[in-house]
Amino acid sequence: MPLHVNSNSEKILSSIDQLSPAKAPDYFYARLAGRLQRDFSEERIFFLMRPAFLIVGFIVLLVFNLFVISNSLQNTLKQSRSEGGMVASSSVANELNFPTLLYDEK
Amino acid sequence: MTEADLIARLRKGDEAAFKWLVTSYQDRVYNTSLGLLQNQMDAEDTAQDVFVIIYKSIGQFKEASKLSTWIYRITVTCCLDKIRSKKRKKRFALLTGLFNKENVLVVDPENFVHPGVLLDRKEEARLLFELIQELPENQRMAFVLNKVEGLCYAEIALVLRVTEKAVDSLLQRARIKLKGMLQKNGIA
Repeated sequence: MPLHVNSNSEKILSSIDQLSPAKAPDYFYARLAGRLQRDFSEERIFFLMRPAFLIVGFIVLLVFNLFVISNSLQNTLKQSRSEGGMVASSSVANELNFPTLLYDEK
Repeated sequence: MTEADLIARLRKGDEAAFKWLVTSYQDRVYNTSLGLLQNQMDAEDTAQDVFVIIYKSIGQFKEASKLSTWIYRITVTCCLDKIRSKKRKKRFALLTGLFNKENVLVVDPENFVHPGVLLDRKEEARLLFELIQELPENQRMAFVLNKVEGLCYAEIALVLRVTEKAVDSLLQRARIKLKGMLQKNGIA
């Protein structure tokens, strides 16, 4: 190997021998603290978006819907019963044949 | 503050202790990342990743090694992950470019020169850093930790979890490979 080749390659290899270490950019900690806060708020959202939470939420919604539907059905049933009762009571009253002026005239 | 005190305070989530840790280690983490990644933005991102990992996983630190060794280990792992993900992106750049309208810069800007290089050696150092990227991962890590971060063989051995002899061998092989690359390029 020629001598100049060896010396040149040695020069290149030793070019970082007295390297002074690089310093972290200014406000590194401030940027890191901001990132940590952002990470934690994102984590909270991801925590709530987990499948377990989504399934539980869906089930709660389903149960609530069923409750509302059954309630409204019961209400309509009650209403129809009370209306039926009113009709029945009026018919009972008719069957009693209370003497009225109209009937008397007939 | 002793290392044990610092670790105990970090485990309790003490913000002042974390700030102290960051200010004491940020330059070392950044310098190592810069040496391995050769890009200032990537180095800062990775340094942040390292401290986020430390903050979240300090509870898992078993104190079998020194805190600094553990931090260097995380730094090296994060840098390797970054290098691998960039390689993957480069590999699929053409494919993603077809479907993605965003023109994200995947290729690193060339001519990286470490800010700590002496002025009269900048050209040689630029060339050397270019060739360092061609080294196998373990040789590159050992070379950067030794030459850029200035760690001794014993410290490198602890970080890379190998013997001091293995570190010596890695560095020798790295030198031989770099010399070979220089000759191959006809630069020397």
